[in-house]
Amino acid sequence: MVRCNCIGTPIGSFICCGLVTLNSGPQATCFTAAADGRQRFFSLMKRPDSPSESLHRSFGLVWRSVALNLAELPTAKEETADVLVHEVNEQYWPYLPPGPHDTPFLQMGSGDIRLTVDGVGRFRVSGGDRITWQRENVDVSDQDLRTFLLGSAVGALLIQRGMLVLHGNALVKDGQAIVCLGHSGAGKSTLAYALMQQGWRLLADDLVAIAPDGLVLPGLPRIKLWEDAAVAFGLEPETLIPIRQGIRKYLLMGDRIERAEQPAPLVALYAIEQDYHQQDEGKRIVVIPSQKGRTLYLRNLAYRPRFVRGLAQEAANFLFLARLQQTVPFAVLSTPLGIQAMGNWLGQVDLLEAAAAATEKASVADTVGVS
Amino acid sequence: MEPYWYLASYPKSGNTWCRVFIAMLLRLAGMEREAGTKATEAQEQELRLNRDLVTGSIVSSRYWLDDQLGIDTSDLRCEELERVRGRVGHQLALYSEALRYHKVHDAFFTPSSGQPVVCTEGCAGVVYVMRHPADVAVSLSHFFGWELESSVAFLLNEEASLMQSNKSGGNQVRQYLGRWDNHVASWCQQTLLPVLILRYEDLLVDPEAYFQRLGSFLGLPDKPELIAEVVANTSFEKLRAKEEEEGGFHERMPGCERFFRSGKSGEGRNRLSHEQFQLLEASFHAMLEKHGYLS
Repeated sequence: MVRCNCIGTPIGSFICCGLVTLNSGPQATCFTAAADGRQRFFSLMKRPDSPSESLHRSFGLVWRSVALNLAELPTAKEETADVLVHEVNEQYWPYLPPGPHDTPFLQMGSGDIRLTVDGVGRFRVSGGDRITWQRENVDVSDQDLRTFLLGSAVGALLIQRGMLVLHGNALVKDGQAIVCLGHSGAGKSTLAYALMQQGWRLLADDLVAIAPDGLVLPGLPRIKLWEDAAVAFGLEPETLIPIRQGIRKYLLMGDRIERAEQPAPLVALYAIEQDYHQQDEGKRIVVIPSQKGRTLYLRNLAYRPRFVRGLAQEAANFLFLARLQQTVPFAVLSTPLGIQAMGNWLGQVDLLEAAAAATEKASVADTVGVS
Repeated sequence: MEPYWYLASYPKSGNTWCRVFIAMLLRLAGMEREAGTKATEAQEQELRLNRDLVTGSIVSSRYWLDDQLGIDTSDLRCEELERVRGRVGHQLALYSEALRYHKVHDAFFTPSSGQPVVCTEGCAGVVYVMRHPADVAVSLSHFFGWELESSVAFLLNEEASLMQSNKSGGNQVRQYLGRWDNHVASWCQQTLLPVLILRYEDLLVDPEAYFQRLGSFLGLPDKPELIAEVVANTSFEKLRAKEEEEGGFHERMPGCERFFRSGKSGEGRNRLSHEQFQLLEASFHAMLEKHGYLS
């Protein structure tokens, strides 16, 4: 009997994870996929650009990835991994009943989440230790898969493990970390790159995981910059790797990034906003007046609050945030428009200290609708 | 499921005025409720609508699309995103009681898929607000800081979009508009959703009558005394004074001094050159005639 090399159940049984190692080496899905006549040949073949298995370290975890090299993550040498990332045909995913926070693209239950990215594939994250994926078709590149896996799927896994996961990036100076939060389009990456030019090191991009002891864990060691921002920083887009084919947004990694590799204590949290209405310089960093307002605001800057609700982690998350707020100052930071102006301004402010020194600004309450 | 509506318009055509009216009507009719769920309340805060405008989100909000799709939509190509937008969001939480009126500037059909850009399932109808394109040109030039000539060219551009740069991100996704008459036709001549067409000019001349139509269409209280009170509370002068008082309206663009600027009709005829005005009227002749602008 051929047994699945992952959890050892006979191939074809319902709970088989779908992996088997053939004698020749390449990874393949169970051959039950063939039984219904819908065999997907591509998944039986080793893709030329994927080593069959790779080990990585990120967020304090060791990741074992099969048939998809998570090239953005640092490599690891451990024998045992905390997380397995591999391909499984979705027909072997167990049934998941509809949940109250589902959308047409997301299905969520306690400890299990399914994500469909149209034209790319499907991802399942379960038990806090497994990410399974399936390409929508053979033309989907590894980079396409990685783009969504290293964002939403990894974020969901960290949430399942009970970590506090925020949407932003973390930077380190003098061994201390600040976290800059904001939704997509707020200008976080531009700020991060500008800070790196001032000697800060990147600890995590996009997903910021904070351990219960208040340490920020080293996360994804790259940032993504839109072409306009890259050009403004004097980078040449043609020398950069697009995040995906046909998108003028680029991955900066490897020696283009000054990385911090050790967990660092969190000393300040900032919500990033672009200063469209040109505030005066003294009001760039302000505190939201009420405790309730701060909590609501911060909760909304979690990494995908819908995942947190759908995965039934909201209560734990809320307590974690409340504790964090008691120990770490939180302020709203309106970044100056323009790279030059931002650089000049950053040269005059110490972001390790500025959140704690910030004062309230009445009109912020109106802005965020807090009464 | 609770019904919901779209408030659609070409930019700078009176969409916000209508949303302010609805918010005020709900308040004065005593129908204002605590904003749906905590989550939607927080979303609204994030969308930074002024508090009086808590009527529903703009459907092109990147934050909202990211939330529904579960990914960072800036990792999608424009055409990939347009393909899924119409399937996003018939979620109960989104269309909760307080947030049932959704602003849209996109043309109804996306150019890449030919499908509606918004979800139509469970939608009770569309209010389409229309304004003479010459006046839109003047308003666009103030809002975006464009030359009048660029605004005229924008109205005539078959590929016109908002947020059209593919070299930068932002808090809204690209919104395809097409030519002005394409935009009008896409919403007013579609047959998937019931549509109420309101002309900005009519709202100015006889606000009581036309806002009453709006109230009735949305199934809201529409007694004449109530409508008159709401109209008085949402007059252009009131909105403008409020903008001054609050130190700026949040939907204003960088560099744009005021959002509520003139609130008049007929500015286009005076401000545009004779050639520019003629060009717009000739290019959009059929659509202008159809909607009574040439009589």
